Order: sequence, then structure tokens, then C-alpha cells
Amino acid sequence: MILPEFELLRPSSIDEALAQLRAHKGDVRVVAGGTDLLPSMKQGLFSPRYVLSLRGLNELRGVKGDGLGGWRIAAATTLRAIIGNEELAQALPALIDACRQVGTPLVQARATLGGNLLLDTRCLFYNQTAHWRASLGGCLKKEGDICHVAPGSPICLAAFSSDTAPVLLALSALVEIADAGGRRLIPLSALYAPGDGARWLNLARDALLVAIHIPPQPAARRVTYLKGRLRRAIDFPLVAVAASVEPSPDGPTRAWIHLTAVDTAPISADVSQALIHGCNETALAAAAALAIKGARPLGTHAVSVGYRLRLTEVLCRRALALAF
Amino acid sequence: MSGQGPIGGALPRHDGIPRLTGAARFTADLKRPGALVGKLKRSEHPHARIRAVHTHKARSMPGVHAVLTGDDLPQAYGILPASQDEHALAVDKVRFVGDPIAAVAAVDEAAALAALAAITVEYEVLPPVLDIPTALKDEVLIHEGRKSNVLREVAQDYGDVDRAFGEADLVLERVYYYGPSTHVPLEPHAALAEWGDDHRLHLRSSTQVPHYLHRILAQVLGVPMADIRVEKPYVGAAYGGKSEVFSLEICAAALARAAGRPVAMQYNREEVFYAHRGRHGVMLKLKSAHKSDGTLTGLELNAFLNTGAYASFGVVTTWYIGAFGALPYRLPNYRWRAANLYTNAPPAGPKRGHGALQPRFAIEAHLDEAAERLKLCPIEMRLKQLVEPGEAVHGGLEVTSSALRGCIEAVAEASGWRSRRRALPPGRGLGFACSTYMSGAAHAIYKTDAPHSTVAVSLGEDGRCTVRCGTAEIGQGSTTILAAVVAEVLGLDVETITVIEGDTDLTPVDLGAYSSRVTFMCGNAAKDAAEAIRARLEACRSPSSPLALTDAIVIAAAIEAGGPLTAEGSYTPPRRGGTFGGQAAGPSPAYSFTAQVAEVTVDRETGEVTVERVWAAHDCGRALNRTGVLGQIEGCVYMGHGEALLEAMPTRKHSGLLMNPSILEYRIPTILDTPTIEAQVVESDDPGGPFGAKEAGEGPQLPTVPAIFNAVADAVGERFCRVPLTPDELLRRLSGRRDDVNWPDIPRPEADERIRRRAALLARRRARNQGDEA
Repeated sequence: MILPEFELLRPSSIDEALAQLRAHKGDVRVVAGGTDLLPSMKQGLFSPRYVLSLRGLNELRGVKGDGLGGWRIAAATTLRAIIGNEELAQALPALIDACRQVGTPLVQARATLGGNLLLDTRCLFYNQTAHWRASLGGCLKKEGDICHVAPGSPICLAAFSSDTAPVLLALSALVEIADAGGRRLIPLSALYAPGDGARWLNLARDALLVAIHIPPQPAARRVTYLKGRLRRAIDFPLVAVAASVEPSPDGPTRAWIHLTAVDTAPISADVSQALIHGCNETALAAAAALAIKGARPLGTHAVSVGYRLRLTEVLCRRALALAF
Repeated sequence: MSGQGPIGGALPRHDGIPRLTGAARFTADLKRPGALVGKLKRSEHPHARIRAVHTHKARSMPGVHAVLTGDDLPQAYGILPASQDEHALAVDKVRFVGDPIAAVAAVDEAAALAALAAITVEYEVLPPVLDIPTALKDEVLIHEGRKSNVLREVAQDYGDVDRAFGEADLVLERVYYYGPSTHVPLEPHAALAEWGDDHRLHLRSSTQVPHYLHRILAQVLGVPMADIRVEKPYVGAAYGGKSEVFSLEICAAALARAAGRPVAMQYNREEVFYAHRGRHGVMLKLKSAHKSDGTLTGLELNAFLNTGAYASFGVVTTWYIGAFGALPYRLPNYRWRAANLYTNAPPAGPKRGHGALQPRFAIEAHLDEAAERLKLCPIEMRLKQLVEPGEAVHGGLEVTSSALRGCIEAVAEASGWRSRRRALPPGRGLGFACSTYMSGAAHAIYKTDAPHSTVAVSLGEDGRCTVRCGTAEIGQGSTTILAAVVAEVLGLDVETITVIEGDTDLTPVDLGAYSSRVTFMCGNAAKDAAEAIRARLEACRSPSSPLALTDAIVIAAAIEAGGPLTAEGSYTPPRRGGTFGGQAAGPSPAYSFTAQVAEVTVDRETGEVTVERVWAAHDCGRALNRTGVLGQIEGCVYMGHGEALLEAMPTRKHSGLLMNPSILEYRIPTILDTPTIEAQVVESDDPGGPFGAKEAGEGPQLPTVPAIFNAVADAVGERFCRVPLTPDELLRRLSGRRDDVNWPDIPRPEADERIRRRAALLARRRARNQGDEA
């Protein structure tokens, strides 16, 4: 398969990039590592007139600690660079776990953290070649007007399948957005728009995600990451689970679970209530039940919806138990 | 054997360096000046009549040099003479999503794709036939010239199965389903066609069967074979997926003829899935009779196969399903029925362990369950009924050598079977299975008494030895074997040997790299040729001479005495099997044997099965290249493990659209998923094999799937009958739900009377022989 023709834009500063995004709004795609965009372009899912490369923007790469426990990871930093950062590995092992489970080592060498947070939503009926989609007759997200997963659905149910988003949500990460109005920091959770797999991001087409900020973590917080999948590499998650637990000597333990791959956007749940009497099998099961309330995974050609829900429930319990 | 030659050693690959450095050129790497890019327009419907194909617009597009449709290539073909049911481009009908309809050649891929998009097809959409039960109804016929959707139905009876059931201590009946899977070779199919000024076609292709391709190109293009040269460049694996003729080979040749320029074509990964020719989905019903000591006294095997849209090797597959049912066990009473059905799916074909894997899975799982019911050790039960060397089973399959007993003992010992089984922690289990496979089919795919393999060896004054053979090195190591066999006979260093293979202008005929025949048949032919040269050298050297046999002085003397030192050797398999229809499938000059133990861990909460370790012992006769044999065993276990747990070809309900035509969604195991494989060779010495060798490339895949399933049964106490086993199905069963395979209960045909008569004759002969021995 070959890429459709496009003009490559190579800005040398963020301001220039933003100006180009504004100039070509609607007909431009941003490429960093390209591991998500380029296969989709080859399949004819996107054929923008312009592709804007972030390659020349050095300020979009690098990991910096603030010395106080906080971190700033520039958006186009590769997953491999993050995995190889020893200080980060010491401080935030769950983030490294998640990065290491993206695709394969080859993918990690190119893919970027920002790209993983902005991953296109995926569906068995959408991520296919042009010939295949033509045989299908298109779908809600592309070329058609029906959702093949749920034919009655008025909205697209394609799943947001980022490995790193659940962990970064558990770490209370913020994202730094640049646009014509300047820079601003918003909570990562605000980047996502739940509901529609065709419109899952709150990011204007003329804005750039420039960095991920991870604030200093509460001393007692422990974050764990587990990924459900059929193979131990390559596969996107059937479910991705991050659990964060903050035991407190004087009050109740606080606990959250963040999920991806089971909805069009991440799902987060405060499960502290279920763990008020400590961590035992019953409490874990109650917490998991809370966490998966909003989950609506799709059946795949390999496993059913029921299986994905059950797997989600099991991994929620296990991730929580590991974090305790 | 000199004992000092390469045979029996751990040999480096003869073609290893160019493969490692990247110097090796595969078909798609080859560039010809002025070459055009060819592409195929494919069907979007599983079943439709073609009312019209409009190519006018495409023909007038810039950069487009040729456009072809089914009308341009009306000659039907098929790999077997008995089933010539396909066309390079669809004529009248399309029969699966992906069936090629038109071909274009253009200056580059973008122009070719644009031309494809400009071709419009008017269809009359027909109801698709997507599964075996629907195909059996014959309400919709996929090939309308035929009476039914049955490609081939076979019925054979040996002995008296009903009596065995009546006298049995245990009768066990179960239905199994083995789902389809495909080969996923690293290199997609590719072809480069060029017509010379002499009007000869030079077709380079990624193929396992240059000779069959040569014949069929001549048939379809209407060109004498002498005017076609088929050349096989380096091939990046095949596993059976390139053992017949593909649309792109014919279309590249026809487009190049129409355009007057070379045409290069390559399937993309999605197209490789449509080309398919992979493992047939098979429904199997087994009913077995056992004595309380575990003796298997009777077996009834009923099978329905899904061959997809076209026959491919499907007639042979139908026979293999039953022919390989009995071996490696003594089975006095055996009745089998198999019907292979057309459906609107990508065509199935031969995949590593062709036609033998599905029944072997079912039978080995079935025997494991019988052993459990009878409270016997599955290994001890099998040891009591192995076919021994010198015996023949149904269909005239003769066992010339077997080290299966040794293989079984080897894996039992290595895995700690006797002490560890039933002593493992919960969720962990051990499973056993064993198997047999052929070392080359005793019959070619077309009727011929010609040798199956010919090898030419020449030894020059400079001491360089050239070995030429029409077979296909596809990564399996045949070049290394050819070099080693000749080096062994002549006492040469393998480095002084050049192997030229797979080029119909340069190499004598060999039938190709399929049915695990190359080491056995080409090896024998190479040995034959080398021995002729050896005899000439020996005649020029006195027995007491201190000179090496291939010393320059001896070579010069031999050439002066008798002309150039060249010789052709050949191999023709001995006549095996019966004389009645279908007996061409199954007989082989020798059979390999394998035993395996798998150890699994089952996560009862997630349904995940982890295959921790597989112990595999294989009897390949004498291991000519130990490294190669161990590599083949590992590759087989790897592939079997993938089929057992991951690989599947689901299609969309009602439309037959293959849901996962990509290597992201068609899951072959990664190295992280792959179990630790402890492979070992247990040698026998086959009287017919070159230096005693038999096959190693396919047989070791047979026991892997049932060994894993038996280990899962040991781990969780539930038996699973559907391949692949998904975590989803496992969890459903553990929570008490069953989803058994529904058996289409239709009457099956009576056995061929000739088979009855022959079986009776064999029984009388056996009784007489036993009488003689007593």
C-alpha cells in the first residue's frame, strides 16, 4: 500500500506550526512518530492535503524533572526515550510499564507520548483497507451512516485504546496546549470528550499538544498498570487499567481506577467507597464493580463483549490489589 | 558415509550469508528497465454474477498500458487435473470477497490504483454460502456446472467397526471443530514477467513449485512450455501457501504480453489473506471403541471440510483427512467418511501438515479422553498399539522405519511425565500427543511415471562442483541438504559446491517443495548423481593412492579418460498404496514420527492459557543437518501453538467478509508468547531415505495442538473440542456453559465396494502372515 499524496510542512518553531495549522485548518494532519497516522493514511482513512511534521521542533522533545517531584515530558518525546530515562523509571514506574506495553520495541522507538494520548479511536470495521471498507459499505465514522458494532447506535462507538492515558490520569497529569491564544494547562481528563468515537478529543484542529505535566505525587500514592490482550506484544489493549491507591494513616484510603479501550474515551472511577473497610476480596470486587459501571467494550472477532467486561473486572481487582 | 563429511553435523546454511547481509534478492527486489506495476481489481461481494466490467475509462487514463478481464484469460486451471475450477480473472461469477476481476498495468502503483478505481463492475448479487451446513443444503450452488457444493466425498470401510463397537468396553463419541488458519509468510506473493525478443516468457515468482507453475502457465497462456522460463529467486517462506499457481503470476505474464513491457506484481498483506490456500476448517465426529486395557479396536471418523471458493488441493485434502487417521496406531476396524464443500470463502489449500493436522488433533484429544475414562496413562495406552516397522495400515501405507517408541520415551523422560503429571499445582497441566507424517507423496499431482526429482552434478577441473535441481529453496534449507549430500559422497568441502535451483531453463525437473519431499527425494537424486561421479573418479585412482578422491590430478585423469565429469541422478518413489481411486493420497516412501508433551498454565479468572514448555522428539530417520531439523521442530511447535490458541479467520455474518486480513488482527504468536521448546532428534535409519533420512519440516507440527489441548484438560478438568481455544470459550466452560459444535446430521455414503474387497484381502494376508510366523 502507498501513502496518498500530500504536502509535507516542516515548521521550525511552535509558532510557525500553529500558523500553518491555522492556515490549513481542516486539511492538515499533524505527524510526530507516525505509527498511528501513517498506517491509517495508507488505508485511506485520511487523505489530508498537508501533513505537518513535528520533527524539526526540538522543544517538543525531552523529559525534565523540576527537582520537587514534578515532571514535564515534551509531547513528541518517544516512548523509548521515556522508557530509557532512569530517573523517571525510579519515580514513576507505572508510566514506564505502560510505555513498554505499547506495540513493539520498534513502535516504541518512533511513537511519542503525545501521539499515544491523541490516538485515533479504533474499531474493527474502521481500521481496514479501502477495499475492505468498500465491501462493508462504510461505517458511521467513515464513508457510511451505520454503526456495524451496534446498528441502532446514533453515534460511533470506536474505542480509545491508549496505553499511557490511564496511568497519566492516575498520576493526575495535566496537558499543555498551545494555540493562537498562547499556552494553557488543562487536566488530562479534560482533553477527552466522552460519548462519540468520532469526536473524542477536546483539541481544536489549530491547537497543538506540547507537553505532559506530571505534578509531584502524594507520598503514599501507588499506581499500577495492567493490560489485557491476547498476545504479549503488538496488540492494542482489550482493556487497559491503571489503579491508584493512597492509604492514609488518619483517614480512609482513597482509590481510583482509570480505564481505556472499553469506551470512546477514558473512564475514571473513584472507588474509595468500596475500600473503606480495607482491602479484601469482597472489597476489591465491589471496587471493580464500581469501576466498570461505565464500560461499554465492543466485541472483537476474537472475544465477546461479555469476555471483555469480565476481563476488565478481573484486571481492575488485580491492579488495585497490586497497588495496595 | 565416511563419518567425516558434513552429513549428520550441525551445518551452517548454505545460503545463509546473503540472507543475513541482505544481498539476497527476493522477487519484489528485482527491477527491470521499463517495468510496469500490475494490480488486481477484486470483488467486494462474496457471491455475485458479473453482468459487465467497464474498463473503458481505465484504459484511457494516463500511465495505463494494459487492462485485462476474465474474457482475456478464458482458460480454466487448477493445481489438480481433477479440479480445474479457477480462472486468473473471474469469468461470469465472483465467489469470495477478494476474487480477482480485472488486472491493470501502469507506470507506477498510484496510476495502477487510480485505474482500478476507474473500473466499474455491474454485479447481480447472489446469496452467499458461508458455512458447511448451508453448503450441504445445495440450495445455492457455487459452481453451477456441478450437481452440488460437494467438491469430493470419500467413503472407506476397513474391517467391521460395528462389531468393534458392540464388543467394546468403552465407546466414546465426540464432535470437534478445527478452524481455518493461514500461513502468513513474511514475503508476500510476488511475480515479475518479461517477454524477450525471442518471444519467450521469463517469469520470476515467489513459488514453491516452479515445475507446476511452468506447466500451468503454458496451459493458461497457450504457450509451449519450451517458450517459458520460470525462475524462483530467493523466497521468504511459504509453508504451503505458494504451492500452486496464483492469479498474479498469470496476470503479470498476460499484462506484460499485452503491454510489451515487463510487469511486476506483488500482493499486499490483505491480498495474501485472500490468496490464502491455508488450512481447511474441518468438522469432525469421532466414535471409537476401546477395550478396558486401552486397546483401540475400532474408529469411525466423519468429516466435513470447508474448501472455500475454489478446489486448490482440496481433493487431496479430503483423502488425507481419512488416510492419516489410523497411523501411527494399529487399527483393525476403521470406517471413514469425508466430504469437502465449496463455500464463498477464500480458498483453503495445503498448510504445513496438510490434511493430517485436523484429524490428528481430534484423534489425539479423543484418545486422551478415552485414557482418562479407562483410568489409564495416555502414554502407556498408546505404547501398546503403535505400528511397528514392516507393518502396513489401511490404504497401503507402509511403515519402513519408526523410532516413535523412542520419541515417546524421550519426551516422557525430559518432561518428567511419570513423576510430575498429576502432581502439579492447580491450573497447571501436562498433555501428550504423537503423530506421523509422510516424506513426500508417492504420487505426483498429475499422472506420470517420470522421476519425481532429477539432480545434475558436475565437477570441473578447477574443483568447483555444481549441483542443479529444479526444486525450491523457500527458506527450509534444501540448498544446504543438496550441497551436504553431494559433499558427503564426493568427500568435498561444502564451500566448493554451488547449488543452482528452481530455474526451468537451468535445472532439471523436480516437483517442488511440498509434501515434505525435498530431503527424501532430491536427496536421493543428488546422492545418485554424486555416486555416478564418484564411481568415475574411483576408476581413475588406484585404491592404494594417497591422493584424495577429488584431488585435481584425479579429476583431470577422469575427465581425460571419459569426458566431462557430469552426471544426472533421479528418484522415482516405489509404487505404494492400492490401485483404486484416491489411493494416491497418503502413500509415501517413508513416514516420520513425532511425540510431544506440552505444559500449560491456565488462569481461571482471565481464561488465559500460557504454554510454558513443549518437549518435542522427532524421528526424521537420520538427521542430515541437525541444526536444520531442530529448527524445523521449533518452527512446527511455534506454528502449532499459534493455531491452538490464537490464529483464526472469522468472517462477518451474512457477508463472508474476512474480519482480520492484516497481521495486526490475524494474531501469530510473538516471541514473548512462544513457549520454551525443548527439541530433540531420535533417529531411525530408513532403508529408502538418503543416508537413512526422512522428513522433518511438517510432521513435528501435528502433535502440538492436541498436546496443548490435552494439557489444558489436565489443568482444568474440562475438555475443549474447538480450535483455536479462546480465553472466552474457556471461561464460558468454567462457568458451566457448553458450546458444543453442532453436527449436521445427514446420511453419509456407503463405502466403495473395491475398498471393501481390498480390505478383506489385506486381512486374509495378515492372518496368513501371522500364521507363518507362528
